[in-house]
This record gives sequence, C-alpha cells and structure tokens, in this order.
Amino acid sequence: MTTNKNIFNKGRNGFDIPTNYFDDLEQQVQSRVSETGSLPVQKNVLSWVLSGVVAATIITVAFIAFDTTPKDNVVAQQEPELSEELIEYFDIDYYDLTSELAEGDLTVEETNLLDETISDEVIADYLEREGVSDYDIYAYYYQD
Amino acid sequence: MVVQSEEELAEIFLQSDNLNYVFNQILRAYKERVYWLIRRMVLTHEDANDLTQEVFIKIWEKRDQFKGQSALFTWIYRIAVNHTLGYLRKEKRKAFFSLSDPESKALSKLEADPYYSGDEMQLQFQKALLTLPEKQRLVFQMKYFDEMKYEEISDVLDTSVGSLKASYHHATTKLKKFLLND
Repeated sequence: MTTNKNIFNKGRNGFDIPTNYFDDLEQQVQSRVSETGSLPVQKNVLSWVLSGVVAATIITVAFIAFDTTPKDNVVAQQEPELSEELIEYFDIDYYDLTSELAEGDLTVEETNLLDETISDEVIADYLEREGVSDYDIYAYYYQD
Repeated sequence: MVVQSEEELAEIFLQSDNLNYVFNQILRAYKERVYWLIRRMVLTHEDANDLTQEVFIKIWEKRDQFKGQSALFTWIYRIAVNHTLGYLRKEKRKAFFSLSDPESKALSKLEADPYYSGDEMQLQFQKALLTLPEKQRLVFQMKYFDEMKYEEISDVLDTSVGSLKASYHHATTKLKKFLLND
C-alpha cells in the first residue's frame, strides 16, 4: 500500500491517505451525485411524471393493505412527535451541556459561558411548547 | 471559464446556472479542507471518506438553501460540522448500549487504521483530544489545525466569539493537563 506521508507537520499528525485519494474522492462524489438522478442525468418531464405516479400508486396501495389501525382510535393513538427543531436542539446543545457537566470539571456557570444558548428556562420552555415529556426525550435519545 | 475566488463561486452557485460545473468547482475547492476537518474528528480514513462523500451529497441536495447570507465556505463547513457531530453522537449511543467506552473504541479503530502512522507521542495527543467534549474538540481543531479566526468559527458554529475563546482556553488547559500527567 502506498501512502502520502505527512505533508503538513501541524495538520497530519500521523494521518495518512491513499495515493491520489482526493482525485478518487472527487470522482466518487460525482458518481454518487449522478446516481441520485439530479445532476448530469437528463430525464424528460414525462418520465418524471410517470415515475411519480407509479411511486404514489404503490405507496397508496401499500398503506391501504397494511394499515390495520382501528379508525376510531387514530387520534387517541397519536404520539407527541419531536419537532426537527427540538431534535436538533437536544441532539447538539443539551448533549454537549450534559457531557461537559458529567465530566465534573466545569461548573454550571462555566458551561453556560461556553454555550450561552443553554438555560433550564429555555429547555423547560421547549418542553412545554412541544408537549414533550422527559420520557419522550429519554426514549428518543436512547433509541437506535 | 475559470472560477478563482470564493465570492465568484458563491455568486454563480446562487444564479443556479450551470450547477453541474459549479458543484464540481466547489468539490474541487473544498474537498481537502472538508476531509481534514472530518478526519480529525472521526480519526479513521474509512469513516472520514464516507462522511466527506455524504457531506458533498448533502451540499448538492441542499443547494437551494444557500442564499448567500453567509460565505460559501461557512455554509459548507456548517454542513460538514453538523453531519460529523451527528455521526459521533450515533457512535456514542451505540457505545452506550454495548457498554463500551467510545474513546477507547475510537482509539482502537485509529490504531487499526492502515492509513495512520502516528508515533507514540502523536497517539498520546489523539488520546488527549478524545478527552474533550465534541464541541470543545471541534473548536480546538478549527482554531489550532485549520487556523481559523474566531469570527469564522463563530459563523460556522453559531456561537459567540467570547464563548469560543473560553472553549478554546478550556480545551488547551485540559490538553496540557492530560499530556503532563500521562
């Protein structure tokens, strides 16, 4: 295996990359983007419409076939959903806050200084507004 | 046509003309910086390669969301940072359930990486970096390795310059402490 050794003393720190890696990366990305059908691949409008209609029909049939939910309980069974905003909020900031606190070497004041957006009030406000319980957040956080 | 500056690139990107060409220019201009940002966070080449590709695909998918309000570089970095943090959090959750220590797991992966040739001292430095919370590590890496200005980091992370200075200070203090004690 051939590698490009440390070119930048400060930057590499023992990290190597395959030879011609960045050229290969460029080609791989271009190829993957092409596969999405949205970059160089040209599709005419009719084919888009037809494929959309087919997809929609399949999805509708699948829903009708597999939906066994009793119709009169649909509303009662709806779970509170975490909004994108909340997920992002808790994923990034709340986690960082708790991990820093858990380390035990930062006080609450120091942590707040590091991330001014965090406060108990902000979190409580979010929970109340979104109607999300602590359990929901726990369940979301430890799902996988 | 040769695109030379970031401003020109951003302007053409906004015009939505010849997107194929502009995307390839962006890929060419930023692939190395994005890769190294990610590599230093996830450590192994394999993971960094996957994530870098995903980031550029995201850039393509989110191209309509670039409004030119921030620098193109800032917008790209933000996508890369968020995507990488998301990956690291998933890894942490997996480690939580497998009752393993995520830092040890990351180090083992690094040592097994055929594209890592760090000596003992460099490995110690990586160990020290892994003791930092992700965001603090990110701030340290952007400041120390990428030599970004606090103002630039502030735009990417959407955090005030004061907080970043405090974060960097805490990071360097912790690193010194770790390296002197170990």
